[in-house]
Amino acid sequence: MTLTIAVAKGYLLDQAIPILKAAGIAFDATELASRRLFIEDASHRYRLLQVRPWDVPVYVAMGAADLGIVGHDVLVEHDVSVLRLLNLGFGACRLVIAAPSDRTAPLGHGIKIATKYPQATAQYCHKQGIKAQLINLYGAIELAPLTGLSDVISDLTATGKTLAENGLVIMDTVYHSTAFLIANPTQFRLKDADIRSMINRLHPLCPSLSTPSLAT
Amino acid sequence: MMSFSPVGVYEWTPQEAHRHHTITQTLRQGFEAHGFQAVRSPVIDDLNSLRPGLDETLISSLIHIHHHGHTHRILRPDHTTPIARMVATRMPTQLPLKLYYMAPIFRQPTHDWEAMEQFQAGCEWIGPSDQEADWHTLALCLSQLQQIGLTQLAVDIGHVGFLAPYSPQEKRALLDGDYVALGHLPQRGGLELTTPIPELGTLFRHIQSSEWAPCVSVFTGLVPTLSYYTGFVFSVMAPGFRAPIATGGRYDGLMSRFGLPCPAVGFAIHLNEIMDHT
Repeated sequence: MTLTIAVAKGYLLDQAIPILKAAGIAFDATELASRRLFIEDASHRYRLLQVRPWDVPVYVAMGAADLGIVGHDVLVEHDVSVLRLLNLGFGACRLVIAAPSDRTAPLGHGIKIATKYPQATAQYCHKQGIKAQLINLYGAIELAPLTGLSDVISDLTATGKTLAENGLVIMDTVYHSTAFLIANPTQFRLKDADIRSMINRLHPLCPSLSTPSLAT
Repeated sequence: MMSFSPVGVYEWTPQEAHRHHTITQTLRQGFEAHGFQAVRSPVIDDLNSLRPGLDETLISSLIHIHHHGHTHRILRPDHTTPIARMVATRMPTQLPLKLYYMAPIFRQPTHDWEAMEQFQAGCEWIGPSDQEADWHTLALCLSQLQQIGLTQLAVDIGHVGFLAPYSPQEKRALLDGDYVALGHLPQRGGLELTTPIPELGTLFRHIQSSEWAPCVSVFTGLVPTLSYYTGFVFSVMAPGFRAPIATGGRYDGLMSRFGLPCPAVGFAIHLNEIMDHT
C-alpha cells in the first residue's frame, strides 16, 4: 500500500528529507530539486507531494494525501479535522510580538498589529485583555511598523535575525511551534499498520523531548 | 448570465434523482424487512422545543431562519433529536419502537468542502438496552451498506468508557484527534482492548462470530462527540471516501431529556458521501 505524504515546501521540507531518509524513506535528490511536485521514494511505497505550507492541512483533510508534515503554526490558524499524530520536533520557531526598538509603551487598547496569523494573535490579545486592531498581511510583515501601517507585528521567527535587521525587538512570545505529522482519520484507519510502522521509525529520530511515547 | 443553485445544497436531474431513488429504495426494503417503520420529522423546527436534546456543538452549527413571530425557527440539524421528542410526546406507551428516516439534515458548514444539506438514512431502535440490540443495529447498518454496493468496509468500534481514564484536558485532546497533546496514539486492535469495558467485549464477541469479523477493529480513540451517547459508538469507512460513510451508537441519555427515560441505539448512513464518491 502506498502512503502519500504532503510536505510543506521550504525549510520544513529541507529538514524533513534527511529524517525521512534515516527512517528508510529515501527521495532522490535530483528529483527533489526538479520542479516536479509529485515524486516517489526508492521503494515506491511512499509518495511525496510538495505543497505550500497553508495547503498541507487541506490535502490531508480532503484525503488527497494520507499524511502531512506541517508546522504547528499552520494548524493553529487552519482548524480542519485532521489527526495530530506526532510532534516531529524539527523546524522550531515561535510566534512573537515585535515592536520598533524605539517603542517604549506596552501593548494597549486600540493597538494596531500586523500579522499573517490572525487566529493565534486574536487569542493572545483576548487572553491579555487587549482590544487590538489586527491587520492581516500575506508577507513582509516587518515592513508594517516601519511604514506606519501598524504599531507592532505578530510574526513567526526562528532566529530573530530578520526582526533585528529591521530594527524590531521581541516583546513577547505567543507560542512555540515545531513540525507535526498529521493524518486523515479515514486513511489512518485504512492504512493503520503502515502509518504506525512509519511513526515507530520516525519517533527515535525526532529531536524534541516532548514527542509522545507510542503504544502499538 | 448563468445562474446556479448554491454550493452545499443539492438539486437533481432525472438521472441523479433516479440514482438516489435506487439507493434509498434498497435501504427502505432492508430497513422494513428488519421491522423498522418510516417516520418524518419537520424540516423547520423550534430551537426552544429541541434544545433539551441539542449539544453545544449542534447548537453552534444550526441554520436559523427569519420568521415573523416570537419563536426561534431553525432547520433540523439532526434526526435523532426530533424523533426522540416525538416518541416521548406522542408514542410513550408503544415501546419498544423501531423507526427509520430518509431525509436531509441542515448544518452550517465550517469548511468550503462541507455540505449544508446532508442526506441521511438511519434507524433508531428505542427501548432495548442489551448488547444483542447493539449487535443487530451494527449488523443491519453494515449489511445495508453492502446491499447498496459498498464492499471493503472498514469499521471502528469505540465506547464512551474509553474517555474515563483521562483528565478534562486529555479528553478534549482525544475528541480533537490531537494525539500529541494526549501524549500517545490510541490503540487499534481486537478483544484485548475491550478488557476495561465488558459490555464492549460482549458486542465484539458477536462481531467475531460473524461474517464481519475481518473488517471490524476496536479503536480506543473512537469516543462520542455528542453527550447523549452513553455506550458503544461506531464509524464505518471505506477506500475512496474522505470521511465516514455511516456512524452510530447507543444513546441512553437522550430520551430522558424529553421526559421519557429509556435506552436506545441507532445509526445514520451519510448518503452525500456515498452519492458524491460512487
